[in-house]
Amino acid sequence: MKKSNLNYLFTIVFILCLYCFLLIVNVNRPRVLVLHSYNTDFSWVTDINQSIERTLKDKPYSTRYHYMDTKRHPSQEYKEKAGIAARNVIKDWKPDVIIAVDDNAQEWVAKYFINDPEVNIIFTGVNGELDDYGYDKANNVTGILERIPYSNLKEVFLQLADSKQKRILHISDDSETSQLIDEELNSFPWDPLELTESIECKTFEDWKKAIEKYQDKADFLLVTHYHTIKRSAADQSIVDPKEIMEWTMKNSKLPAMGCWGFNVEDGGMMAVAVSPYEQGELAAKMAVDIVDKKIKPIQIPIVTNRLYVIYLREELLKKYNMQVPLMYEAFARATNHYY
Amino acid sequence: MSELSYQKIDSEISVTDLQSRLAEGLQSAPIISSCQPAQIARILPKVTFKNLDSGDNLFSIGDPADNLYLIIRGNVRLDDGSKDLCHLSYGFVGEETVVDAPGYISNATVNSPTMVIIIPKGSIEILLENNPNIKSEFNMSLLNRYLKKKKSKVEVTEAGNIDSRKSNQGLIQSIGWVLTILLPILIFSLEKYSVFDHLTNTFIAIFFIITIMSVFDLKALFIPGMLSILMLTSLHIVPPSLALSGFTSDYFFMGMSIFGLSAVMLKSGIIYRFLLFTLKYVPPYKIAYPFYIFLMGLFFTPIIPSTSGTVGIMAPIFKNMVEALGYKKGEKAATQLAVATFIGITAFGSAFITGKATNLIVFGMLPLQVREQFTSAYWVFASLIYLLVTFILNLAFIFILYRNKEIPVLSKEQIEVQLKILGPLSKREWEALVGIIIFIVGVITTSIHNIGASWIAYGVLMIFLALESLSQKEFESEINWSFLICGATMIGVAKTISYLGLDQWIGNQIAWMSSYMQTNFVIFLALLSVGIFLMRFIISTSTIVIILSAIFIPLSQLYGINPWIVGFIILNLSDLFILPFQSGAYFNFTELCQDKEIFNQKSMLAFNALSCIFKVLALFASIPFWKWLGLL
Repeated sequence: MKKSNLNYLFTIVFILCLYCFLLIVNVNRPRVLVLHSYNTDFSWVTDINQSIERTLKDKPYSTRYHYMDTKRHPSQEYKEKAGIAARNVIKDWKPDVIIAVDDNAQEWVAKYFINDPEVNIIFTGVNGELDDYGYDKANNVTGILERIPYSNLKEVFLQLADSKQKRILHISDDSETSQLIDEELNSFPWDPLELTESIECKTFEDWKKAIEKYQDKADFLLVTHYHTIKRSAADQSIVDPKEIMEWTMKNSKLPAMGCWGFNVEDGGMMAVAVSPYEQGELAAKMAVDIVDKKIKPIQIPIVTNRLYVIYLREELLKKYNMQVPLMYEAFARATNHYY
Repeated sequence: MSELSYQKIDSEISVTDLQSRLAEGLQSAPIISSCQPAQIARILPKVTFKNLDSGDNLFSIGDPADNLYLIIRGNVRLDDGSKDLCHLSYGFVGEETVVDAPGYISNATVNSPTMVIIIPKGSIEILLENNPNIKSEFNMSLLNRYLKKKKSKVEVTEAGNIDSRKSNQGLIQSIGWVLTILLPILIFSLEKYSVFDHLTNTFIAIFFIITIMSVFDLKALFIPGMLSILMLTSLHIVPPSLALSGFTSDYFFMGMSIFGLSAVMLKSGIIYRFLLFTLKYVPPYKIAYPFYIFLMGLFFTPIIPSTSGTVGIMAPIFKNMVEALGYKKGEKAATQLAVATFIGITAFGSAFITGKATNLIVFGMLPLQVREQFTSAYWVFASLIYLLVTFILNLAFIFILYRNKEIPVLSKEQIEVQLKILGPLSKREWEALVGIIIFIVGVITTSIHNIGASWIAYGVLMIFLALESLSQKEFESEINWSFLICGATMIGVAKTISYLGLDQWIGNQIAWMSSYMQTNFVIFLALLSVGIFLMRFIISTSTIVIILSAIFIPLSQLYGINPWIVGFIILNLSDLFILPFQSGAYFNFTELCQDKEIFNQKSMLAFNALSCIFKVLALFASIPFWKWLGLL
């Protein structure tokens, strides 16, 4: 055989071996789809991604992210089409595990794959109840429920308040998530504090009116979600969340408390927040159990978040003359949540 | 060169004199006279004269095709073993050497004392480097001889028109340069009135510089792009990783690989062979030929990411067909074939990710999630209605508008001769064939192996490089590096727009239009169609694609529209043209046909305008399908 032919033959053999190896590795690589209800402009989303990546970094999985972006586009019509697109991604990519984050991902996508033997579902960041999505009867679903740490929140309110400050006003948008939160808030025993009212606003005009109206009827503001607020009845565009928080802090004499980190990032004073890191990390660990240990989702118990994170904004704490315990400040500073 | 001047060569002359006469002979020779003087100079040391006596044999059938001969004086008879083909006293013989045939397919015998210039095969490669078209001209020369047809005279381009265009261009470019210099100064001097911070103002100045340079065609498109990278990074407007993100994205590797694949397909000759082979089996009905050539245009669209590349292959085939079918030049039948060829090549480019180079830029500008979704297969699937509507409407009207009574008589002899010249499948053709099969199978089975189309193409490119189907030299010359660099830099610019929040600001400024994106997509599409149609009179396709994609793709995300749809629409609309100067592909097509009378150009342009309407209609027709897919 000629030298050049031999070289040609060896090249072909080498390429065949290499490509077969690559093919086998990729075919057998487990696939994890992280399906977000929102988009990466939301720190909650990026924090969850960060914790998932940290947990899965040593795992030979193929991880793909899909963002439904329903925070910026809250209309039913958009959610419907975002749901179709996400379901098509799942049908096309055929993931072994779907980590579905927040309620819209469950409502418009994950629940369509209940009891599908090819797919394992891990939900996280869910404010709703299991039966809302049919998960109570599913054999391929597990996950983490997201519940605002009301006890911790109450504890912080009590530490900040003087003996006369008891009235809390809850204000939010009118999204489905906010409706679920509203139900929880009303069923929580706030005593000795008092939940004066819970207001869901459709427009920024409504929001402004509510803030102005309750200046003397409450002592604290509890701000949850405000990402689907429209400019006005005539202008249905979504108002930048930052604009809402900045306006609120500028025009309200009531100190405001949030339940998510984005609240302080957008210009709020303080948040006793659900930990996105816990939500992401627990979900990723469940994915590892399903993929590596071959544990079925139904065998993994559904859990509720346990941890919380403190976010503080120094400038506003001073403005409202709030004295937070040093431990909170240390905690916020240590976790880079002190602004 | 006169015959008399060669008489001296018979006697003793100096080497310098000999070389200068060889050069003179080559520079005045048909076909290769279009080569650059530097190329002719490079081959000169390898080229020799040879004197032959009556009865001498220059070459015989089956001899290895190693030399091309230019007859300077005398007479050479060509025969195919049984009958005379022709007698030549000037011009080329042995064109088989240029078209990569394994051996000569005729005998060449000298009738009277003859002088020839011998050009060895290695030297021809040098000539082909910058003039790939001469290969097809030699091919035509060879074929015409067998068909006993005179080679049609190469028509000179409309030099007058070009000169006047150049003069106007000079004035326009001067205006462009003045704007390039003045606008940034104006932006900085009015900075105190600006709503933006200093960094954003600086970026706006940069954006104006690159836009004006592109729109006024001041420099090749990639130069303003590269300049933008320099400014964005050195002025610390964005992190270098973001400015350079186009170079690390799968766009870059996809583009590089597709150009490489396409080069191997073209260079190997497998596409040409495929055309001939299939043409042999086209049923001898009048409607079959336009249908066949239209279908071939569609078939080659995803394989060759350059419309000019496809035109380069298809135009000579079209010309061959007109001659072989015996159609009258400029009549309906020939024009029908021309329209079918051209529309087949140009109508479907945006329906395949690899159909046009600009598709790759749009692909690169899409968010990662959308890029992952729009693999090659899904891109075609999402374009399905567009494909069907344009295919059916164009084809139907080609048959309706160009009904004719000419009876085609295809000379199968011609195809046989052509296939005979090509010989059996070469090693390189086999490699190209295997490569394209791997690519197609790989893309179809993406959901099984989870390797993206970009990396499959890259894998095939690696095979070609390892097997030297694509040589290092070809890797350097055949891949459109300037285009890839341009696309990569523009991806950085587009990401900078989002990074600085300018997309939101632009959205607010053109809210009257962009809100239609969300509320009434039909009106948005109509407005965009009119806008791009008007822009196309003064701005090139690539510039429109780059600038509009950089603006509208981020906006589409704000308005909840899948960015691919907006990119797809821009790609389609930017291709529309009604006048010849608006389209490089049309210009190439008419040039490569080498005969302005071969088809009716007015009729062709009128049909093209109709085809533009079909394209827009196809986009409107796709809206319900996109809604059904959840993209809109």
